[in-house]
Amino acid sequence: MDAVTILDLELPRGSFHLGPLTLAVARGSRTAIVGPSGSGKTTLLRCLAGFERPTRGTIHIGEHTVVDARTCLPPDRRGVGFVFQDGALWPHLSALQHLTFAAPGLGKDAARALLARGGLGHLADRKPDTISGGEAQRLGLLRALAANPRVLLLDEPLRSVDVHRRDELVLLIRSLVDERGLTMVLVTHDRDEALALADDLVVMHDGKLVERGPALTLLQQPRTAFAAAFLGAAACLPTTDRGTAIETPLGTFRRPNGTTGDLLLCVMPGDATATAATADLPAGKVLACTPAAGAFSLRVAFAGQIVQATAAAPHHAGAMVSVALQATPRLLPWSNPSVPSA
Amino acid sequence: MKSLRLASLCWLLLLAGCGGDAPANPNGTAAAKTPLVYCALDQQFSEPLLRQFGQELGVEVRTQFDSEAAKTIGLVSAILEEQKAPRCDVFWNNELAHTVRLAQMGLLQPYDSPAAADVPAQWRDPGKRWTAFAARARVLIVNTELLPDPKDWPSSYQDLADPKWQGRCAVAKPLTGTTLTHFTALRKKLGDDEFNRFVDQLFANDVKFLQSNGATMRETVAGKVAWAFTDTDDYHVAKTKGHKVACVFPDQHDGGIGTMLIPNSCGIVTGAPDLEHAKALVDRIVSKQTEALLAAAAGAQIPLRAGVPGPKDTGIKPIDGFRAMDWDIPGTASALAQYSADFGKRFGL
Amino acid sequence: MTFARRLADLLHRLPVVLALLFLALFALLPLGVLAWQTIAGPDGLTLQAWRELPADEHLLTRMFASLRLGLAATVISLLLGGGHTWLCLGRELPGARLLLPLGVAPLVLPPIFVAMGFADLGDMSGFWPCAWLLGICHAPFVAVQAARGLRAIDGRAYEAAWLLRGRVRAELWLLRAILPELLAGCLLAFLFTVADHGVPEFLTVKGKTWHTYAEGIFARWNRRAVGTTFADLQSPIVAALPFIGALGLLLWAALRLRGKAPDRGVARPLPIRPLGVWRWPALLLPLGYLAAGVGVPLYVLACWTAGSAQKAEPMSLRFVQRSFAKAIDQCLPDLLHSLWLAIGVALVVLLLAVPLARTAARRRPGLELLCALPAAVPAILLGIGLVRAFFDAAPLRALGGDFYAGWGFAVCGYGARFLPFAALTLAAQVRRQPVAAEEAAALVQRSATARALRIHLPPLLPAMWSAAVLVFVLALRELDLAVVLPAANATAVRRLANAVHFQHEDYSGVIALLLLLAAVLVPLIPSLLAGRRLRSLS
Repeated sequence: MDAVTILDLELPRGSFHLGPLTLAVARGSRTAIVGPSGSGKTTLLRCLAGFERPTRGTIHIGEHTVVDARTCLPPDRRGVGFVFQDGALWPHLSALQHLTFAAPGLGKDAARALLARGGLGHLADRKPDTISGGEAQRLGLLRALAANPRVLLLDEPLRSVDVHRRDELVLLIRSLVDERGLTMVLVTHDRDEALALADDLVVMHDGKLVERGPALTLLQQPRTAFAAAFLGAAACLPTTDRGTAIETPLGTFRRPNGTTGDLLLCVMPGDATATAATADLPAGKVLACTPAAGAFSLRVAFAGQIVQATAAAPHHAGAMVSVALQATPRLLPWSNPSVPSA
Repeated sequence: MKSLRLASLCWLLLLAGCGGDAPANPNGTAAAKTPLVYCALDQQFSEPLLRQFGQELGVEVRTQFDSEAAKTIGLVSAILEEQKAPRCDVFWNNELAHTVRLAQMGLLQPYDSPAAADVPAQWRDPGKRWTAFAARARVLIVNTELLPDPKDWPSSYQDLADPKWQGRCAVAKPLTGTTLTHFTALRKKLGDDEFNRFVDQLFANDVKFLQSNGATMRETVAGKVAWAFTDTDDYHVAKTKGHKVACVFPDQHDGGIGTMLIPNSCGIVTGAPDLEHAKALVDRIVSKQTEALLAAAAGAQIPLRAGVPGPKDTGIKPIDGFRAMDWDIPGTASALAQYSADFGKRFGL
Repeated sequence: MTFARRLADLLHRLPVVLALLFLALFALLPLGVLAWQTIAGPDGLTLQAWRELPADEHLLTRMFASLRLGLAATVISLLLGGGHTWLCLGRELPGARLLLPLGVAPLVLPPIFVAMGFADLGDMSGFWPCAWLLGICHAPFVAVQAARGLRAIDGRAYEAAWLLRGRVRAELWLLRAILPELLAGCLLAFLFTVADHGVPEFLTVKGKTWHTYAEGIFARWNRRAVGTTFADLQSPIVAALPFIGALGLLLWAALRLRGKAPDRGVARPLPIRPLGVWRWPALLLPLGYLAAGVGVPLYVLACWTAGSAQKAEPMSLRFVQRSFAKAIDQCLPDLLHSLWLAIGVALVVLLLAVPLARTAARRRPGLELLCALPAAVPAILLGIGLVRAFFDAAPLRALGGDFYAGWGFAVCGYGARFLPFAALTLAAQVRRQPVAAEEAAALVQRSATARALRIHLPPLLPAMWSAAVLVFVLALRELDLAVVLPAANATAVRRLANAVHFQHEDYSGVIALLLLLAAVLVPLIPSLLAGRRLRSLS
């Protein structure tokens, strides 16, 4: 049985409309819901936690129906833990009190042990305003885990943590989640955060699911230009429809079988090469040049986008280079909301 | 700093300690059968007396005093409002007309207090519903710095209309209190036509119409007017504060209408919850002793009983030292409402 | 759901329900009763009282006078209160750090004290003296709101404006940025000015010959004793209800304006802005404001106790001793009654305001206006409504004794009047608390009551203390309700008002000073006990 099942969930909020969306998260999996700000990912997570009540749809957590037409269980009865973006600690309670209050059955010794497990043993009596951002986020994590939830929900947990402390927190989250065999659902707009913590990715855009699948698959073979751009830092170049052919700034290609409508040419890093500008090839201006594995990686302003191209020789910023596609062209639709639930 | 802190704390603790069984307060604790007195006389003078009466009776007397802002008719209004479920037992008014009016409306009940037997008959209700005692007189307060020669002083209510005093004299608006009673009685006495002519003359003479007798006294003391109508208690306040003022009992000349006396009055409210104590309290309130005490107090009230000593060294005459105006008490009371409405229109609220 | 859990959840909702019930009973019911009585004539329903309203020639004059007074006093409040904060917050004004929190000090003094002080020094019967008095008394509303606005400005935004457009334009930009707060403060000052009865009435006694609308209402209320017709008797209420409607609208506007200026997260406070050669002359405004709002009244009251109001003997320490002896002899029970009343009101209001504020801030924003409604009702009228609704209320009789005339009823009446101030203060504070921390608590498997006590309330404690202090001070100085409610008959401030009317300035001064001492000392108890450095109550 899936740990979390969402069916036809909808929540209108002014001009924004979340859903309808359907999603299942397997027990023990680590899933990251990614998307730009305003895509509805946090609202979805809040619906799971019980902070928002959807107007339609059902949510099952484990064997329990937590939301349907008649039911909307309060957050404390859903068996979920929640790690907030900025810790959301209780300013007047010590670290130890955070855990003992969060888990009514947890004794002080067990709470101290949990703090020690999270590397906060020495801060048991300290209040939030006297600890660092990273420590606060650890405490938030331990608080969420103290009551032994079945599902752990995380809302951009690394965002308020210093860059050099993020790895420690990533390791802690992964080890604790693994130890406890928890199902984890994370939302973030940071691709690196998603890849560091999750195995499965769900891409959201404008309140809808765009694409989902294992992280590696989505990174290598995105099925939408949106996912390619968001996850793979692809440059999405405009195209012109010529019937069976598609005209792009990098040449004209045959329309892929089974596709209809507008397509974009997605150029992911490594898909294009750059050489000194010649008259017969489309050219762009070099913005930056960095060495990369025996070659050079160029950021090239091209057709109104920034294309990451590989070059054999260095080119200084401002130089004109010709860009050519060396991989199979990725002609993808911008988004495809009708992604089947996995 | 530390000692200051300690002292402040001690002060607060002292206050809290003094509170004793607070939040109970003299008004709030209503044990069974404790009389409630509505009192319009200045709290400073009446409260110690009522406390003393309570001690004599062995009962806690609850009191409710009028606010000066309500111009002494707040309690009359309260009795009117509460007539369906009376709370008050004894009404001690600082004037007479409204008490008589309440009696006429059936809101006071008869009680023939033995203590009132020696009060002159004109100051007792034939129906025994009220008794008057300890009066204030409606007098003229004169600024003796502006008018040092007594020959120049005004001597009659008619001086208000004398062009000689144009813009230099004052009287309270006759909307509430003693001035309302005074003007109502005057209108009854003079008749509508003459009274209206008189009022027209007042307006023509730029008489200052102020909000209270206290205000007329203050304007006189401040020299903004040379003289004004006021009550003897207000005059006495100015006198004891050392201001250069004199008191004129008006209309004492031959054929004059005399000086108006406005006594305190007292009665038992119809349906009084604690009738027994109410009667005992009335006996004390209208007694000779109370009159004497009120005469000696800063209010300098004039005892109505000839034998009771009046205010001393104040310039306020005893009851047999001047000619009092003979006014139609029941007629004034019954005309009060209508005339008050008329005055409201004429003088502005 | 277990029974215990259901019970706990029910208990959790109970405070809000009780608070709403309280509002309904002690604020809405009195108004409803008043409104009903204006149409319930002796011979059935009638609009006679309403029809006669326009015929009253004084009414329009007084309404106009009140509006003029409100506008004039508000401009003065803006100049004094707004100017005080403008010069003291983030400026290199000498002593600014000390002066800034003192901006609220005039709020501690009942307006009538200020009026008494100035009336002693000169003729205050004109329009502008009255406007100045009320402007001074209500300037703290503008001062506090302006401070709130300035503190919410991101210093970097000011610096950006300064860099781009120069200092004068940057200052103008700053002024514009805090305009919503300034307007909210001005509206509050206007509201309190036009609703005030005590000061205009006092000045009338002192010779003022023009009258305000609130005075008219009270005069009509008093004249009910000699009222001859139904319309006459109902006229004060009929005249007042449209007034309340107008004040309610103003309040709604003030709340909207305040809501439009929510507490912004401030990355950096405003930089200290130089005043240059104006730093010393500029000091005159805050000093003048504090001298007028606090110094003059205190000086005059102190002089009264020493015998300045009489000429029979020179001022002396012996006179002071006599004044104190007289005051203690006559007024100590009243002073204690006032203290207990104010403490009771503060406690009751706090208990009611917390659930209301939380509900208004988190779930039902409309509730805020409902909570604020009593603030739009002149206290005199609220008192009249309470008297009419409760003097013969059977449920109160069932409570035993003369509850109507007792401490409990006074606490309820005062509570209804001051609930808005506490509820609005606390609602603002709840909004400042991060929602996420409360959501984190919502995930915890504990009863709602436990969550409220352990998580929701502790961060509110400082604001609760501030609100309690505010209510305590306001209750201690409340005159208008004390004049009408029999239950508040024995308060020191009413005794004081009467004593001043009866020319007993000597012990009036003492009562006033003792009241002020209590108003300052009681709120400082925690600091006194803990021995901590005193911090601004603003």
